[in-house]
Amino acid sequence: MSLKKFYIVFLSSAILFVSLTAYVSKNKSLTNIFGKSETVSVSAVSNKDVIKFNHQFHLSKDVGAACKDCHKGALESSKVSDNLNPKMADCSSCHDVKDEKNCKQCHYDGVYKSFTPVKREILFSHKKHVGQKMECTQCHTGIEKVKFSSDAVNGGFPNMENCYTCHDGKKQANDCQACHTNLTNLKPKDHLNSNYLNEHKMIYDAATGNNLSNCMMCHSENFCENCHQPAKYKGENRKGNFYAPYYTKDFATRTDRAGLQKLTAVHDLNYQFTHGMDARQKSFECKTCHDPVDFCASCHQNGGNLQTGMMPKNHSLPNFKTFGVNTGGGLHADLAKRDIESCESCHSVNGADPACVKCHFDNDGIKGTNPKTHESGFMKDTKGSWHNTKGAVCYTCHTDPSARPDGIAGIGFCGYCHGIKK
Amino acid sequence: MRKLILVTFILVFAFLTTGFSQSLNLRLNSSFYTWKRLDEVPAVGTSATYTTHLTGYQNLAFDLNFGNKWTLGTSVQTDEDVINKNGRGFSYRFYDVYLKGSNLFNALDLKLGRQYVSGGSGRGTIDGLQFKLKLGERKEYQFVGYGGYLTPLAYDFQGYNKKLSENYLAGGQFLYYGIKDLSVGLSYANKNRAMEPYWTTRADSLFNPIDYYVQPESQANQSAEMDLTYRLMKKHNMYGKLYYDFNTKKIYKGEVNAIFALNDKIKLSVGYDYKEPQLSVNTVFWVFNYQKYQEVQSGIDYTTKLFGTDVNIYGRFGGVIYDKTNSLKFQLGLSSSAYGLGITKYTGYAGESEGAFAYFNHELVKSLLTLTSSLNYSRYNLGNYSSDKVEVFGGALGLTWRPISRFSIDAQGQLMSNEIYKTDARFLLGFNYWLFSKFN
Repeated sequence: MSLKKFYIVFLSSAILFVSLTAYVSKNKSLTNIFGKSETVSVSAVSNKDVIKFNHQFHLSKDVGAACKDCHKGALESSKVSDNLNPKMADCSSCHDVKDEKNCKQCHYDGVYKSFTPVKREILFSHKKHVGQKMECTQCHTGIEKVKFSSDAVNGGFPNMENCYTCHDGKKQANDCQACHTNLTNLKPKDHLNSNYLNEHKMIYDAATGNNLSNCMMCHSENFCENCHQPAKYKGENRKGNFYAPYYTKDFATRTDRAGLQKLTAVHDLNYQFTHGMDARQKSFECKTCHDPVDFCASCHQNGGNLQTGMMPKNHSLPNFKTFGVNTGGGLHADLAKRDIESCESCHSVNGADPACVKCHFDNDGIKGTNPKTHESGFMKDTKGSWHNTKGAVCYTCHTDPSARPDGIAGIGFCGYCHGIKK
Repeated sequence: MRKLILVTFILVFAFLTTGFSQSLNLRLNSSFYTWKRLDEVPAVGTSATYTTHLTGYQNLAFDLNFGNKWTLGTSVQTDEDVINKNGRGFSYRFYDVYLKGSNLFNALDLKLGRQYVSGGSGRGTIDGLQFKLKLGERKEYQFVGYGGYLTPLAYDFQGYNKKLSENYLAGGQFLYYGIKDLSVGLSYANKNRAMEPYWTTRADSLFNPIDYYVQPESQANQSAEMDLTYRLMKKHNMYGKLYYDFNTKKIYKGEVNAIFALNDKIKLSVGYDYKEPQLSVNTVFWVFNYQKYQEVQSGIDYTTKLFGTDVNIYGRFGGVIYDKTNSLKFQLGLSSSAYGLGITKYTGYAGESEGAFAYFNHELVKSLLTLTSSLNYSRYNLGNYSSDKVEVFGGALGLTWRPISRFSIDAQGQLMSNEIYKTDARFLLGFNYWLFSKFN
């Protein structure tokens, strides 16, 4: 199949699918078809103005009511959209709700409204959780100490840290979509900060000494590795696979825990063309995620062509390199002094000469006859590894006959520091 | 080494499966990505030759949990171009293969196997051991230690042909959380990566070419790091870090950052970095004469509600001060979970650029179908040595269909325009599955 046909088939299928789904959705039979998830919009509601009530009083030993006495449907509820607020009839087991003289004991003047249910975009079954022998207050923390649920922390509803005590990926699942139905709005508020990439290292819980406790609710250990590890596509940007097939950043799918296994990336499309600016501007520390020794070289290797090698444009300028002692080296010398990590990121190729050695070599052991490489007095007072091993980096460039661990004092490489033995 | 790893895992697996309740957390993703590529720039008057590519990617991650203490975890990836074969078939890359013990004796985390290590100055993937000892009433004293063979670059189990003494990462970190709102870290790392020997050509003293064998010592980094984090009045965060290189015997990096919350809505951030290049000893780059540079950054973030969602409006500035030149970056934008847009400008040594980007995500059908989209544009040059600016444009439009919570399909079309391709259209299709299951 040609690529053109491939696109046509997929685009047609996508359009057909979207149309069909939209039609089905309009007829409200979607949940019946898939029957697994439901979504309702979120709205924070307080029933303080609807009824006079005191959870603390009702749950006290004096009264001895249990949650299920009022929230009668809770034990059997399997959907978060079920309205579990008590109806007036539920109060009748203790209160004479037909006694019109005592309406004001619970109702405000002229206010006889139903409770507005709190709506959530999650999958939740009270029945399933109660079946795990959980107490209501394990999730609805502090409800027994307040009048209205809205007075309790988080409105009497569990926060995610609470869920995480069981949904830790071991006892119970902690993938986002195990509970959340809308994955486009899960990003915490602080993650929106423009500097969050830099800020996230400051976030820790001093009380527990665990700076990862909250992170781990949404992110697995693998998530950190996505950045703090040399890129997982290392070496795969070869000729036949030059472009990484990543989603662009900030897509909803990145908040998806299972999305860790998707092909995701932090960079925009076309980033391979513009990343040079970020590299020099240091907007991001490339090294945090990419190992420069092998990642950059996989595209920028010596001899790369326009399509695969992507040699930086400044390398083609006429004054990029000047040859000859005391010529200053041209533009490349200035650039290298300024940002030698960039040079290393492309030219340090394992198992081959770095490009620098083409000119920066010393074959005769005579000072001043080769391109300048070191600062004056470089390592002069150091007894470095070149005294003991032929593998010392010095011998990559210094190749005169005396350039070896047992070289002759006063001659060639050794003579730079050691005079003639007397 | 391979046999040792295999035997260890079989023994450990056999031991763990006998006496613990188990659960499995599995994620599986298959993606297919297709595009055409231009292999050569056509000569004037000739038509371009394209090759077609359809690459399949397979990712697998699972955690097999034994009780609440032990986990056997792995993540594996492979890919192959099914139209233009890459020549090596589906070679598997194992990013993690480890056994982890959590909170053993209420004080110890232990991890054995292939794993990523990040402990202050030490960073890398090893085939080895890592532990974290948590002591004190509130576990305010924490000691991390790690060591192992540096994972082969191909993430397979083939490349164990180096000596451990030349190819390892070892180190440790001490963390202290004993003072309220303060954390202190001290770390040390020693990393050596063995390099491949090679034959090359050199000139003799008369400039005649000779064959020359280079057998380099392993690239070495030995450094220490100290960091401090402090939260003032529960809302202002400060952070500082210093790195010391034992090989060059100097501090090669220092940074301080602070974020001040002026109120619930406005945050100011400032930062300063001092850096010298961090280069491994035994690379030729280490011996060159190089310069240090400094970085400054600042920004303001304003959080508000827009259309019922939290939105962050921000402005940022970053500058790098090199010797005799500098590079500046400015950014203005707005971001929320569901949408965002911004403009970016670079000027100076890094290049000149004006760019804009936007993204938008929306649930078309609640809990079932999500639209994802993004656009970005930039007009740039990569430094003052090229005066003409080039335009690039990228756009993506995708759908995620999630019929049940544990299964979803992603489809995404991408369109790019850049200095090589006038129009470059691509398509991505992905199938995602996760499973959590308890066995007993």
